[in-house]
Amino acid sequence: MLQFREINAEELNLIKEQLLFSLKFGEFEEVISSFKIIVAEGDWREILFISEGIFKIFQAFKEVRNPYFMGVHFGDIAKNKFKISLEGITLISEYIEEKTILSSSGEKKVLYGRNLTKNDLSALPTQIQKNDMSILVNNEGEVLALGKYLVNKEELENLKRNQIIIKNIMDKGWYLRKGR
Amino acid sequence: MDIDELCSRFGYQKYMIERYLELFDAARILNFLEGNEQRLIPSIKVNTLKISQEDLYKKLTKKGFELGPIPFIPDAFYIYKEPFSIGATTEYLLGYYYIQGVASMIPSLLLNANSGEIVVDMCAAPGGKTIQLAQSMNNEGVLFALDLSRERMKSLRSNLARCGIKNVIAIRMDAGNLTQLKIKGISKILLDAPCSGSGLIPSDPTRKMSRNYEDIEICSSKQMELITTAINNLQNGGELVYSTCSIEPEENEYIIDAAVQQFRVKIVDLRLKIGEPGFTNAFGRQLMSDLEKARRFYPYLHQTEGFFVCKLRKVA
Repeated sequence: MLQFREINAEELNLIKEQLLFSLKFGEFEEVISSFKIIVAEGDWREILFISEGIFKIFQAFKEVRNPYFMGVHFGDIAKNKFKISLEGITLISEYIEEKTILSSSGEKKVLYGRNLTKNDLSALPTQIQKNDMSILVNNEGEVLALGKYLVNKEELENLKRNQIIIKNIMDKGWYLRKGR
Repeated sequence: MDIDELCSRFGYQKYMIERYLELFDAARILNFLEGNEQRLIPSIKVNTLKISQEDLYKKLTKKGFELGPIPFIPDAFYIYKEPFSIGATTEYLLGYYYIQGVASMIPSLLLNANSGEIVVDMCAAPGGKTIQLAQSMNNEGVLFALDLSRERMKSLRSNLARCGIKNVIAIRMDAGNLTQLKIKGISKILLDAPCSGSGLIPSDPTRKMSRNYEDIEICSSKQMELITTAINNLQNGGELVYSTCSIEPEENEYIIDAAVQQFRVKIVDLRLKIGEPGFTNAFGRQLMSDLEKARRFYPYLHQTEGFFVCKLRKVA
């Protein structure tokens, strides 16, 4: 049974820190300025962004019935780690300038849930360190996925064409594979 | 017209043909039955929260899809040619559109929900109509999406997430218990009621044999319960759009007729340029003349699934 409550300071800090660490994203305050943040706590904690209007109505009926979900699912906290969701990535993407641009083959592969090789990339962020997370977009700038670099940028030139460079962490093909 | 011959030729149960012969005259029955054998043209509704109709048209035609506008529905396309499934494009995954039958696009359109309102979609999953309502509300206000099925709620959640919907409170519950939530100020309700689905025969011919008259009675009873709940929870002046994908009068006109007689609601003129008027007499039962303002859709006339829609306004 999920318990819905407002986010606490510790959880808020955890999200901020992990977004800064993994995605070098520091504009969290700006993103949340128009939302209330609710935690749906069960086996793990779902982080939901809701409007003030939804919050007021939720306050009125929460004693009677729990929602199944509400607003935008920004991510989850489990075992003291924050994991951003596909919706969360989409929400913050406009604030992140440096993304990884995929080729058309990369777009297809990533939406099938596959990892990416050198051939699948059209443009890379200026700085890449092994284990960096990056938002993956197509050549029209549309957000497709979140990936994790498995190499440093200086290693790229010497890699074989079929060697995996980016591990697919999550992608929008999920909506078709699992979300139906 | 020989009933047994029609049953055998089109694969229906006898009670269905007998009923359709009473509802439609002999001249129309063949058109109706043949219409149910035709494949409906697939259709999509553009998610204008994410993309314009023009831009989506360009993107999909570039990939080899052949699309055409749907004359009476804004921001929607017929799909005439699919080089691959329209449900497997990048644009679909990005939430630029959702796949929806043409008639199913009509109820949300008629409800005309606005951004400042509290709106309830009583039987929401898998979410096509909810997304349309959220669009109409510009993703603002409060939109309750209720559904009882655990599995269908998962689809609802995925579809709303994919389409970037932000203003929904989804609750897994029997919409008949809406009153328990004690929500004040509900101005619009969409009740796309669970039904026998006889309008879906073109896409699911098994329904010719898998439903019996008791199913119509069971659905009718549930529909009456749901419309009663809807009206009781609507504020004065509020509007309710009732729809089903059934063509059975017991699930449509009978429900509206009973609701108007029991509650302070009026049937609203839909001013729709398409659709047939609702029945004012069915199976020998005289119904109120205002039911002409309701609309019926048939595959053979409108190239849509069989459908019924009616709008009610609660008066003080």
